[in-house]
Order: sequence, then structure tokens, then C-alpha cells
Amino acid sequence: MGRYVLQRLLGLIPLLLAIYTLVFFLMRVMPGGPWEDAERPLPPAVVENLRAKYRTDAPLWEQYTDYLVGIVTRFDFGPSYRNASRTVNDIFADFLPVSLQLGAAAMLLALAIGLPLGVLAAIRHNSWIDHLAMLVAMAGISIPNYVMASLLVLLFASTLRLVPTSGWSGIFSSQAIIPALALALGPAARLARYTRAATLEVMRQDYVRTARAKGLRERGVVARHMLKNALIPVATVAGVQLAFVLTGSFFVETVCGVPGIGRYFVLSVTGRDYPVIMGTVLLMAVVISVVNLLVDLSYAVLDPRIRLG
Amino acid sequence: MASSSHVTIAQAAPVVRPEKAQGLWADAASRLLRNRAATLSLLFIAALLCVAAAAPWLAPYAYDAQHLDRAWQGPSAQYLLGTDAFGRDVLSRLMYGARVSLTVAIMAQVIILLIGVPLGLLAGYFGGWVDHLIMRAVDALYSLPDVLIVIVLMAFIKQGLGQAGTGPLGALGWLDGATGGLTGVLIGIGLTYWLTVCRIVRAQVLALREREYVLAARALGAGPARIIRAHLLPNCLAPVIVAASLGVPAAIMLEAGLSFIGLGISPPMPSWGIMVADGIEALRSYPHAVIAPCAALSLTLLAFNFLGDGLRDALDPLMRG
Repeated sequence: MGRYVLQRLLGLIPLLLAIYTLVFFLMRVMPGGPWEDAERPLPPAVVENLRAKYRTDAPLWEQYTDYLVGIVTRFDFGPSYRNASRTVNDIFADFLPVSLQLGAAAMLLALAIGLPLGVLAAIRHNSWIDHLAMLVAMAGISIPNYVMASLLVLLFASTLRLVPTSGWSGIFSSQAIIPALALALGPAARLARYTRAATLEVMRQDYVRTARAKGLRERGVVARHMLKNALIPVATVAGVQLAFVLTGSFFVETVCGVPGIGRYFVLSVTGRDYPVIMGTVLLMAVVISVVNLLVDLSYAVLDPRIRLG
Repeated sequence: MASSSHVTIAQAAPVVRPEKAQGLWADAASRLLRNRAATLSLLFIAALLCVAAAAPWLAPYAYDAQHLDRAWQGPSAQYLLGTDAFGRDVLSRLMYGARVSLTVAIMAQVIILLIGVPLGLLAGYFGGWVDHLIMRAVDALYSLPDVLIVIVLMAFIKQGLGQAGTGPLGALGWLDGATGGLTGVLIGIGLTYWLTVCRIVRAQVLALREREYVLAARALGAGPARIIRAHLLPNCLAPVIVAASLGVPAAIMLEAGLSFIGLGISPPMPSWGIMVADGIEALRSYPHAVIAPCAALSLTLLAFNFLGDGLRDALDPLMRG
């Protein structure tokens, strides 16, 4: 187990290096730097000073290695181009916790909605409950999260006046409900579809028939024999849903006025704040890889037949 | 007596009406048409296509005709779906926005197929270091969320096309400007979404490459080009069509999302994503300007998703859920 984890983590290194290299060269190859705005050109002397300050005037190879060494040894993504007084690390420290809290809440919501809906649809296969659940799931997949957020704001904030329309005051305030729900519904819908398919598959197995035949109550059959086995394929999909939650924050945080890294990242991309882009991309790659590793580890817990190695 | 009992047996036997021999495509089409949701979706998409094609004649106003004195008007006989912040007709902008979404629906898949199919064929047929190189790139890109990749790419594509000089890149830059940024969006989506098609084609080719009929063709002297064209490609068609049709709603959603955050279509060209973003600024006071593009976008995505699911069930009976 320990060796397997180490192997996977080591495999992350070439991936991160490849991403770093690709983003770095895209940053440098594209004509014009972040200060060379064609519409409002800065005086050449100012541009020169900025270039010297951010060391974009050094030879390309030197920039490549210096930046990389800084990230690896000091976890230092350098200064932000747009926000001159701050470093990327400061920005992460401010904005990342908000997005992580929101993402975690959305992920839990998605599991809490998606799993029961999928199981319910499967045990009532081909009934109106099943059809309705799958129609709702299809709608959940089809409606973009920012559309969902707008409609939720319209319904719960403007019309019913149950929660404030936008802003942020912590994950446990009523303001967090709409963004968390908007982020959760798409993943919840996908989880419901996969859970239904996995449960239907398990329901056909001999051991489920045996469990029923030996007189177990339906509740015990569903919980112990069906759910536990259906969860194995669902765990993979749950890992993938995290990516949806993370990238969903790019859109939903803008609609709901949440001061998270998603909204900041979008502003950085439009403003070509390269160090922030680099930092966010690498960070997301690490988060997603680690979660995928955890998902793979959870297989071993869910299914004793699976040996990692 | 003997003859009559013979007749009885024949009558008692289950009546097996020989089904009319159908090819793969006719069979799939009849299965698709039996799927009510998919048929309805197909009708909806056909109607939308007509609206998009006829937008210049159907739309009551030009998409960029501003009437600042009539901003944020609610639905009326003059403006069926009201007006936006600049007094532009929401209905007309919706119709022109349908053009953007449907162009993305078709062209994004064309670009994805143009990248994914050749790379998948190369990787699967030749194997070795070619396969290794392509599949490492696929794996690396798969480990990042597609939305993240495309957002980062768009930052560079917009910049690159905006400052492109002459030559082929300059032509692309000109095309991008003329289409209101649509060309850049299509390039970004194409560069991000070819992975799935590439994987499918590669897997299919790997499975078929050593089959007897391919070996026979090779023994008869057929070169790689002929084997790929006559024997491998046709067998990839059904799964590729399924992947492409499931990719359509993803591409439409991505274009709208990019436009929503200001990295896609450039104003004043309308995109449903831009219309949602514009409307959100006055969400509480003038909800009509948000609801219309939200409904159009969601219904279109729903239709393409149902159609994609229907096509998958029709073309690939084994995958039916």
C-alpha cells in the first residue's frame, strides 16, 4: 500500500513538469507581454522597468529554471503581474479557503442528493419515480451551473426573499446556500445516473437473490448487499465530479459574488496574470490527482478483492 | 390425416415473421425513432436550425440595433421578449445566438474529428513510439479538467489570433475577427476535446488490427492506407458517431460558458452565454432578460443530451442502460 502511494505520487512529477513547461512556453511564445496592451500602450521606459522587476528580460532558459526552482524549493509562485503589491501565494491564502469550503460543501450536497436518488430510481426501476428521477437528472446535466445559480438567485433571493442575493460571509451563512446548490446539482445528477446504473447491475447478481431467499429484510439487502457493491464504480465517478465542482467555481462564484479562487482565476486569465494562471493550474492538477489517488485507495476498502500494487 | 396433422403442427409453431433485413443504419434509425424523447429532441433541434438559418429574415430587429431610450423593457407586442441594457431586442438576439450555438454544435465536432481520428489511427495502427507519444499527451490532458484547459488556451488563442500578422495565422486571425471570436472558440474546443475520439479510434483499431480479414487484406498486398480506409475506419464509425453526438452538448455548454466569463464570443455578436452574463447585472429588477437566454440554452442542451443518449442506445445496443 505504502509503495503504491509512493509510486503514484512519483508519477505526478513528470505530469506537473509537463504542465509547467507547456504553460510557461505558451506564456512566453504568445506575442506581446502582459504590459503590452495594444489599446493603451505604456511608455517604453515603464515597460522596461516592469520587465526588469519581473525578470521577463532574462534569457528564456534562465527564467524557466529560476521560476521552477522557486516553486519546487520555496513553493513560491512569484509576484502577481496585475496586483503589484501581492504575491501569488498571498492571493491563494486569501481566496483558496473560500473556494475549498464551498467546493467541499457542494461535493457533500452532490453525494447527499445523487446517491439516494440513484438508488431509489433503481429499486423502483421503470416506475414513475424512476422516470421522474432520470428526467430531473437529465435536466441537472443539461442546465449550466451559472444558469442554475441565476435561476436560484431569482427564485430564492429576489422573489421569495429567503436568502441574500449575493456576497459571502462564511460557509455556514445563508449566503452560501445558492452557490453550493448551483455547484452541486450537475454533479448530483451525474452521480444519480451512475448510481442507478450500478445498482441495477448489482440487483441482478446471485448474491442479492440469495440474501432475499434467506429471508433478509429488504432494507438489509439494499444497504448491505446492494449499496456497498454498487458504490465501487460510483466512487470513480465521484472523483471525476470533483473536477466539475472545481471548474464550476469559475462561473458560479462570479454570479454569486463569492470571493474565491475561481472568480479570481477568471479575472487573471482575462488580465493575463501569468503567475496566477500557472499557480492555479498546477494547484488544480495536484488536488485532482491526489483525490483520484484517494478514490483508488477507497476501492481497496470497498472491495477486499482489489489489491493495489 | 397425415397431411392435416402436418398442417396443425405448422400452425402451432410460433409464427416467426422473417424481419425485413435491415442494415446497421436502418436498424439504428428505426430504434432511434421509437425513442420518444430523442424524436422530440430531433424535432426541436430541426426547428432551431430553421430559426438559426432564417435569423436575418425572422428577427424583427438587427442583433446590434440599440435603442437606449427603450432599455430593459419588459415583453410587449413591439418586443416579444423585451429589451436588454442597450434597448436591443432580446428575441432577435436569441435568434442570432442560436446561430452561434448551432455552429459550435457542428463545427466543433468536425474539428475534434479532424484531430482525434487521425491521431487515434496513427497511435493504434503503427503503435511503438508514435502510440507512446500520443497516449502520454492524452493521459496528461485527461488529468486536467477540460474547462480549465480550454480557459487557459483561450487566453493564449485570443491573444495569438488578435495579434497575428500575415500568412495562414493571419487568415485565421481575420476569420476570428469576422466571426466575432467564434473561430478562436472552435480552435480552443477542438484542441481540448479530441482526446475521447482519439482513445476510441485507437482502441477500435487495436482490437481489429490483427483480425483475419485485415491479415488477409495485408497478405493480398494492401498497403496501410487501403487497410485503414477500407477495413479499420468503417468499423470506427458507430462509436465515433456516438462520442461526437455526446460531445455536442458539451461543446455548446463550453462556448456559452466561455462567452459568459468574457473569453468566448466578442460583443456585440450575441451568444446565449453573453446574454445570460449581461442579464445577470440587472437580475433583480429585470429578470426577463436572463430567463429567455437561460431557457434557450437549457432547452437546447437538454435536446442534444436526449438525442445523444438516444443515438448511443440505437447504435450501441450493448451499452444500453
